[in-house]
Amino acid sequence: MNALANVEAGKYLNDNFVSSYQKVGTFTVNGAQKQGGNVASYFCTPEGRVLHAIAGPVNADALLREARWVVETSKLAELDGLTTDTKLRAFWRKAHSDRLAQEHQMDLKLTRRSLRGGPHPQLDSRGRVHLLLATAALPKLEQVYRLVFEKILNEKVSTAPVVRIGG
Amino acid sequence: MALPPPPVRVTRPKPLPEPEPPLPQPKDATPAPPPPAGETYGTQVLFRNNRASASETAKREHKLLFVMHISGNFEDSCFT
Repeated sequence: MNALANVEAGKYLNDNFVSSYQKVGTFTVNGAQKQGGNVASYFCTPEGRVLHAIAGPVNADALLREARWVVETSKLAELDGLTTDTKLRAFWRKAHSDRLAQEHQMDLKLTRRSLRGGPHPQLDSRGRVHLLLATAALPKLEQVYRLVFEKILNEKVSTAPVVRIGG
Repeated sequence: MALPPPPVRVTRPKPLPEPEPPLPQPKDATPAPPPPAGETYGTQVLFRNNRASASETAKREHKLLFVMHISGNFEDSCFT
């Protein structure tokens, strides 16, 4: 199912976000089969600081749920009068830490030491995104997109055009 | 001997002329519709193909930015 073709999700995105896209990878079309390729979606401040991300394709419900979480969490930060960079970073760090604990049973305070040991194979892509943004909150998109695409999605960042093999 | 009063002349006001029908507007005076702000590529989401302009628009309209990083050409396939 194409989440972006969903009327409700589309309306919510258009009402609350300004959208753009960027080609960062490639894939191979072998006959009628598509090999490789993926998508990463980022919810950012207008300046391009990443508030949240979705690694990989999701359905309309998931897209809408994550978009709403970003919008409502942003409103809460505004309501709290958080304007300085330090306070905003701390706020979003806690927001991602809370979701990591609630949805992925990972308490960052307890596992901080083990983070130095490398990636966490028990975390799925959603958990890894929360882990990334809980440890480095509000990064610039340029600072994290390669990590998301190559380390979480296991795709290569590439400027190569789509390769077509056969008919 | 007193003179008879002068005859009263009743002057009726002239009827106002009918307002002229408005001239038809020349076709080239109609304002052209603004160019589309982006494309939907078969989705329900309006995409700007330039992140810088999307960023400016987001600031102006007090919105957030939604950026999709994709493999291949967006026009050909949507990985969502």
